[in-house]
Order: sequence, then C-alpha cells, then structure tokens
Amino acid sequence: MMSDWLKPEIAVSSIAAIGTMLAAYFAWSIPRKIAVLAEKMRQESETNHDARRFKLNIFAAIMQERANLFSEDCVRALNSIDVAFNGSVSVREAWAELFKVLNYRPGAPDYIIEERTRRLLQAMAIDLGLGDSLRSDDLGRVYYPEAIARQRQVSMHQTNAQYEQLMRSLKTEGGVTTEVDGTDSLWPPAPK
Amino acid sequence: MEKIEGVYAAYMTGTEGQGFALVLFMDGIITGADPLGVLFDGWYKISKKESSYSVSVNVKVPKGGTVIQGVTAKDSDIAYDVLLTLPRKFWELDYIPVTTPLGPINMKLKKIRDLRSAST
Repeated sequence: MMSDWLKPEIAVSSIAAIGTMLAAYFAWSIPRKIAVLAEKMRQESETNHDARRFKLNIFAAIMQERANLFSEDCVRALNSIDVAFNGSVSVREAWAELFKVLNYRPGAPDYIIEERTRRLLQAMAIDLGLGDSLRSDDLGRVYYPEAIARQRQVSMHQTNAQYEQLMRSLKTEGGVTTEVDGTDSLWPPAPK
Repeated sequence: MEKIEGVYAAYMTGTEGQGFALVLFMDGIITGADPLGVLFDGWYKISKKESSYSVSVNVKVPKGGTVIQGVTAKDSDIAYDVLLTLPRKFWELDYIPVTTPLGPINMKLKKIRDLRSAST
C-alpha cells in the first residue's frame, strides 16, 4: 500500500539501499577512470620522451658532422628537422636559411655555411633546453684532423672520377658521342 | 647603335670561385648585386667612335665576404673601382676578361630583357 512507503523504517531502509548501490557503482567506476587517466598520461609522457629523443639524435648527428655537412648521416638528420622540430618556428627558420646557402650554385663561401650552421645548432639547443650550457664558441669549435679530411677528399675525388666515367659511357651509348660544347656553358673559364 | 639598356645576368669566374649577379644598365647607370651581398654601382657611356662603351663600376664587398678572386673582407667592407671597355654587343660574347684590383676575372653578361630608357 502507498502508506507503507511512508513508514519511517521502510523509508530509511530504502535510502540505505540506494546509498549502498551508489557506493558500489563509484567503487567500480572511479578506479577504472583513474586507471584510464594514468594510462593516457603514461602514453603522452612516452610520446614526449620519444619526440625529445628524436630531436636529440638529430641535434647530435649535426653536431658530430658539422665539419662535413655533406655526409650521409648529416644529410639524413638535416632532412628530418621539419618533422622532429615541427613545433619550433626558430629551428625551422634557421634550417630554411642554411638550406638556401647549401643549395646555392656554384657554392656559397664556407664562412656563410659555418655561420648558418652555428645559428641552426643554437636554435636547436635552445629548443632542447640546452641553450644555457652551450655557447656560440662551443658550437664553432670543431675537431677535424687532417688525416680524416684527406681521406674524405680522396673518396670524393674517386667518386667524381667514377661519375664522370659513367656519364661519358652513357653519352657514347649506341656509338653516338654527344660532347658538351664548352662555348655553350654559362660559366666562363677561369682567368689565367 | 643597338640598345644596351636592359637587365643582365652576370656569370663570373675568378681564380678561386664563381659568382652570379643581376645587373641593370639604364640611362648611363649600372647597378646590381649578387646573392651574398656584393653591390655594384657605376656608370657607362658610349665611346666617341661609338664602337664600344666605357664603364666604371664601384664594387662593395661586405665585411666577412669572400670574393671569387679569393680575397676576404676580414675587418671591414672592401670597396674598389673597376674600369673597363665593353665592345658593342658584348652580351653576345662568350666572356669578357676583366682586371680588378683584387685579381682578374672572366665575366659573361647575358641579356635577360631590354628596357626602355627614360630618354626614349
């Protein structure tokens, strides 16, 4: 009967039962939500850690090869800058400036390439939080022994000679030789 | 005499490198620049016999710059004058030898387009 629900003992029991059910629900759902949040934070932390490690690897590669920017390792690192440092405008601008002089034909002066490389490394160091400990002098100080420089020069000349031989053989394929007329070249010869 | 006024691409080879500049010839004035900051400013006039052009150009190299003759402007800007005679239709020549105070260069001037001068 309707009047039975209004009796104090029945009302109190009903409220207690509802409270128990609510307590059981929260006991199940809150730990679950906490676990989901913890997992999300762990994944974010891991992503940030991986992103920072990627940036550090690129920075280290360019630092190691700054005396020889044309090495494969350095080229790979430079080409990864836009991806790794996609959130850093200063790093990407510094890379764009270095890219311009690296692609300048017939070749920009060394002092310009060195200066822009230093600027790029400075911007990367600041982005990585190393800006306070790394000065411009540190970035400009390069140990590049003569022996290694010669080794690389020999390798480069050998590669150039092989390339020229290959190009000559391609031009003479089929018995037809197409020589490049020197007078058609844009660049005048060197003065004597 | 054919029109000299125009925009030219200058391809230069020195003893220590090569360089490119964009140069304007107009109303007796020559002006131009290269991608790394070297500036060219001067004048030209037709010779009396109308067989050539007398040219004087001041070249300004910014501090820290290295020119194709192999000289570096270490402590301050370097400025020097170049005097030369350009033959008629010089833009059709393979190259023009130029003597500068910093050393010799060979220069090829390729006309990109004509310009109408203010006097015509």
